[in-house]
Amino acid sequence: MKKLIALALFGVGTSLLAADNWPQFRGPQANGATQADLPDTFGPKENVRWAVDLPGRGLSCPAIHGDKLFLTASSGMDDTRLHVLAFDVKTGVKLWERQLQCSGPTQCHPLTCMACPTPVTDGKHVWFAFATGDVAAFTVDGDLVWMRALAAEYPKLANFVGRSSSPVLASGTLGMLIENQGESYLFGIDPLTGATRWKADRPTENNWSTPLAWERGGQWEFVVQAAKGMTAYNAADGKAAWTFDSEKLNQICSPVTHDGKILATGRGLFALRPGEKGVEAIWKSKELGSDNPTPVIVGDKIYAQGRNILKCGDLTSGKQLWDLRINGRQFWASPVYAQGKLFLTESSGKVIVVKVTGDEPKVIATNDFGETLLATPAIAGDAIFFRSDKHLWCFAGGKKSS
Amino acid sequence: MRRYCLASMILVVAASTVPAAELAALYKQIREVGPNAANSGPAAAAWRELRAQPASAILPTLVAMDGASPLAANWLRSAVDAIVEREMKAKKPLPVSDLEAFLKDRKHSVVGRRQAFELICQADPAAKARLLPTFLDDPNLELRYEAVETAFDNIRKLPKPNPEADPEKEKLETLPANPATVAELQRLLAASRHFNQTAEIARELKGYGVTIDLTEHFGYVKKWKVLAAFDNTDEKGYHTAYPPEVKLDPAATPPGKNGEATKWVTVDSKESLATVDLNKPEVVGKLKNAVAYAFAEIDVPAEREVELRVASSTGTKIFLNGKEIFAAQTYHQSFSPDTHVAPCKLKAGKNVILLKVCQNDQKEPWAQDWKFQLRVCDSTGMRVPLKEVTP
Repeated sequence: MKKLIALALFGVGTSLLAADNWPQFRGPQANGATQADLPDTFGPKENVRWAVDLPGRGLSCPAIHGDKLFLTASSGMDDTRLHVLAFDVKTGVKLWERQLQCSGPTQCHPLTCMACPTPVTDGKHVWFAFATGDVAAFTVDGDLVWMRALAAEYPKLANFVGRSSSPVLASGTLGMLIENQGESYLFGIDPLTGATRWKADRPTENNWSTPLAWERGGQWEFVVQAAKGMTAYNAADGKAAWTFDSEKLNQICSPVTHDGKILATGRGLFALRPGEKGVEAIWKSKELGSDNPTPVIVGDKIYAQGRNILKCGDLTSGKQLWDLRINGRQFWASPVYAQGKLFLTESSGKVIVVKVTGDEPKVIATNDFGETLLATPAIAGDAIFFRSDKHLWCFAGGKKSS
Repeated sequence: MRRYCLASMILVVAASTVPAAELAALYKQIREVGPNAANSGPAAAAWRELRAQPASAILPTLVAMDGASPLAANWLRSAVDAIVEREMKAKKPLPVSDLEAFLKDRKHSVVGRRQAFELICQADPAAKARLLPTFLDDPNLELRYEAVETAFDNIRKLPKPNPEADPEKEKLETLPANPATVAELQRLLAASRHFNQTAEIARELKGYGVTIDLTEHFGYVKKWKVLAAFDNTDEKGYHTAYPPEVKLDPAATPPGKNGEATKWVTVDSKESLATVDLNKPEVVGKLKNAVAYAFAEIDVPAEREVELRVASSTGTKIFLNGKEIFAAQTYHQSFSPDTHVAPCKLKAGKNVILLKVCQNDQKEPWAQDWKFQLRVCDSTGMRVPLKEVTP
């Protein structure tokens, strides 16, 4: 066990493959996919293993390791109260909760709130971040390890439109992107002490995407996608390793990786291979772009969403294989995948399940929650977890078309 | 204040069953946390010891928040969370009467008192209704907000002629005369310090036929002299000290953008919340890559601490009596009241406020606003008495 934890902290990619864990935004490999036998139909009255009330709003996703699920919420006058929460994965019983008073400004678009970044855990510690610039590390049992008030440390950080970038771990460094119209940095933080190891200057433009932690040539890098290009930073020292300039990238969804390639999303999809001689653009697809949701990678396929069009592409050639119009208006959550099924979360509260194993995609269920759903779901074990501003649900059992 | 905090901490620590010196040492370690996670190691060790203490440590821990940095206060409040969680699971009582005494003492910290209130309500849900009305004049803005909100909710629930009317819609319902309700709303309006809450109460009053001048209520400055336009190409003008910020001379019209003459325009805003829209042709007109200055003179009877609160969705600097007191180089975030808050001290008599408002080159339809609002209030958001004496 100790060996596993050490691997997780100092080489996170090795340890996050276990199907029982969903330890960060978009899962073990940050590709939105895992193997789990999940029900087709579920909702507040169907296939509910457990459901609990939440103390506040949130667009953050659950982070799960073993028998513990971690989540954030924000509440109170002007959204100034921050909640860090831990639940028992099997029963939904709240294990512990700590509350903080925010230290940074809370202005943002009414759609979002201060509990937007998703926590990350290595099974021993859990790191929480909020749009206010408050960042804290706890043990999984709720003991405080360190806490920082980045808005107080860097008063020129500007939070007027909300922040959603989630913290990520790579090779023993916690990457935290704060990119906005004020001072902007990618922080490389010692996850155990909280001290900044390095910080890289970033453009002063709003960016809500989460960096991708990936390993290239034995080195871990944080890959940051922004409106005007993509830059990878060495996780050990924060030095820029490579850059891809483009005016067409998306600053909401996050980069993904496949077979040594980085996929940059935006108005189109760019397949990039960084190497000794710079970044090679292997192919570009006009059709496979995304807007808000980050694409899912499964094998050699990519599933991307542009508004209500779901698209499937071949990652070897960049060709679009099919598209499917989805009955929904607005998608802020990213899709997730398990055993041949994609789960698309529509903002008005519908979760559309699409079977994608055959030649033709097929909508097999539309599950109505009856309340706004903005957060990306999480999958662990045989269950799928959704959160709204009021509830956290765990669904399992029932009919499984897979 | 510091002496008071120390004295009350010693008294409360001594009163708890935990050795006072032991607790004081833990608080000292925790209160020394700082930027870049400084002292987090020793503080985390102290935190673990603190959360293992019995319920008698709750009160001294709340007292230890007095004078602590916001970061340290968060360490302490999360330790209280952990103690309470354990005690509640063990079905042990919380020290409610001690907490109530602590809550009543308004000199204690905002975070500590708020947490005490929540703990009291957790132990005794009926306490909420009893305690909330006592917070209507509380310096703790969260407690005051909740007190006003709860009382306002009672009015919201009153039967309305058209129960289907959407309160979010612009069109107001005309409500039947109800002097008691109007009096209650006016009491809540006077108590409220939260911008949106105040505006909502004013809106409800309007339904009863009572119009509140929110521009006046919030203390907005209406009279300005605007000088434009200077260059802000590549947003460099934000960093350039043009003549008005070097030496303000309302008679001078230095050369501006592209060598063109600048000119002063007198504005007496009649807009909602005294908005000054620089895009209006009679003020400056729609320009890109441009800087405008606006100055106002206010007169106050005595020296006092205030906050200058500004709404501006573009690059903004605030100068008071020739000294820069605030700067934010952000463009096209939302235009909201009190976006920028600059605490400062006014001198007795005349004070000169100078605003620098910068427009950039963004072409998007949502990136065209170039306007501002400014109000003068105390730290709670209440307007301060002043005379506008802009020439």
